Amino acid sequence: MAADKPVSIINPANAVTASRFLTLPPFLYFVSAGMYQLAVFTVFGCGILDKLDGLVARVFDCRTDFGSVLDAIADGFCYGFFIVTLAAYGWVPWIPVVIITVLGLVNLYFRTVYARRIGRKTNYKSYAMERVVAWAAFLGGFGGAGYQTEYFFWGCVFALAIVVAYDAKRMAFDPVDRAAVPA
Amino acid sequence: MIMSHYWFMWLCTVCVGGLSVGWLVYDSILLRRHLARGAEARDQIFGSIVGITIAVLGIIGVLWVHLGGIPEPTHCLPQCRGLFFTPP
Repeated sequence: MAADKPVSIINPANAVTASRFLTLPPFLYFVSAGMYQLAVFTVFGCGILDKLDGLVARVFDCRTDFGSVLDAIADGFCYGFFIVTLAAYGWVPWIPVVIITVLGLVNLYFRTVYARRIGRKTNYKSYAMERVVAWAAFLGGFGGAGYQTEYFFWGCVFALAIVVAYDAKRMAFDPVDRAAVPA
Repeated sequence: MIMSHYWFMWLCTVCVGGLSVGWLVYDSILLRRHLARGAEARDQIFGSIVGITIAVLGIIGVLWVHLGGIPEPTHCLPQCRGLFFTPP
C-alpha cells in the first residue's frame, strides 16, 4: 500500500484511469450521429479500462489513495455523462436519469460526512455500491442499444435508492473504528 | 453500422445474459462464504445480496426482451421481437 513506500500519483494505473475520460468525446459524437453500435462499444471500452486500472495498479504495485479517489470520480463522471447524454438526445427516459444523478450526489455528500468523522481523506468501502455502479456502467450500453431501456433504468433507481439509504446509515450514524479504516 | 441490428441484439443478449449468470454464480459463492463469517461480514453479505438481486433482474430483462419483445425500442426494428427474434 501507499504507506509502505512513496508512490507518485503520476503512475500507470492513474494513467489508465484518466484515459477513461478520452472515451467521452467519441461517445458524444456517435450518439449525435445516431451511430448507436459504436456508442455502445465506446461504453464497453470505458468499462474495460475501469477493470484494467485495478489490474495495472496491482501489477505495477502503484496503488495510492489519490488513485482510488480518481477512480471513483471517473466512475461517477463517465457513467453519469453517458446516461445524461443519452437522455439529452431522447434515447432514454429523463426521470430515472435525474433520480440516479440526485442519489449519486446524496451518496457523495455522505462520503464527505464519513471522511469528516474519520478525520482524514478516505474512500468508504461499499460492497453493495460496487455492484450498483457496475449496473450503472451497463446503463449506457442498454440506453445506446435500446435494450429494454425503461426496465433497466428504473431497476437501477430501485437498487440505488436502497443502497444509498443503507450506506448513508453506515457512514453518518453507525459507530466507526478509526484505527480499522485503511489510510 | 458494424453489424446488422439482428446480430447486434444477439450480441447484447449474450453479453448481458452471460454476465448476469456469471455474476449470479459469483455472488452466490461469496454469500455462502460471508454467511459463514456471520455478523462481522454484514456489509459483504448485503453487497452479495444486492449483487444477486441485480443478476436476477438482468436475467429477467434478457428473458423479457426475448419473450415479450422490447416495449419501447429506440432503434429496434420490428424483426427484433420474439424468442429468437426473426432471422434477417
